[in-house]
Amino acid sequence: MKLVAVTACAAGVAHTYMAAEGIEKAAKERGHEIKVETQGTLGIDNKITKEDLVGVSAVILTKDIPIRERERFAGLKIFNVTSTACIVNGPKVIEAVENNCK
Amino acid sequence: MLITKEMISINADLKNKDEVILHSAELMNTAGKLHDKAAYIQGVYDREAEISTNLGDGIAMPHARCAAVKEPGLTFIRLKEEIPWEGGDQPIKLVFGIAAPETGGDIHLRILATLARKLIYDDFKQKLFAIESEEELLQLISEATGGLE
Repeated sequence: MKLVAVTACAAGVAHTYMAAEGIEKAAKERGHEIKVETQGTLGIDNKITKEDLVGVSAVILTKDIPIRERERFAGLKIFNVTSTACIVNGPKVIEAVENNCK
Repeated sequence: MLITKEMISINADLKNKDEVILHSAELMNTAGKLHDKAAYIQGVYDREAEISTNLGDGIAMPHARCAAVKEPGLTFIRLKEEIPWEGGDQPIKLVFGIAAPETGGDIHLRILATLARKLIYDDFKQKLFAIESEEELLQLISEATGGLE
């Protein structure tokens, strides 16, 4: 599958980046293609563009705080998860996405 | 520097989360990272209330980004004995404390972000549990983040 994800958290210091790495690692281990954008203290990194969304099966968004420019993902299948889930249970998040995209 | 030898405490004899947060704040303060220690500590508790920083696998990362912080700081505490920490099933043995100012400090925040990403990987975590000296830890963090300064 082709996936995209955006992570953000209230402080924007640690969880944002750990969640990004956690979800990316888990997705790749399951053989998926994924691009992960971070919205933290460093601003928006690795921004997901219109082109990135072509052929995307699902969008994973952390729900700790509102995701900026969320309207980009209108019409796509969105999964709202906690940053903690991405950090501690990345594989489970990906598994849930797989099961819902069959 | 984001972290120096003086901001590392290996085999710390601390009994609970409150003692750990206080100790980390004292290390930050002594290193000149804070304007206001009490306000920083409050910031850490506020953040813990929002979301536990128990990251699983025995590691916690209490942190705050607030006006009480002068410049970014990182502390490392390895506890002699594990302690409970709300928000996870597993007790905590390693603690990274983070202080971030409301604005600025981007170079150091970038290092912290890189370090946070490394904490997803088991091999890196195992190395953190195994280090034997302050120098070894600084070396490990420096290698993992592409240099500390």
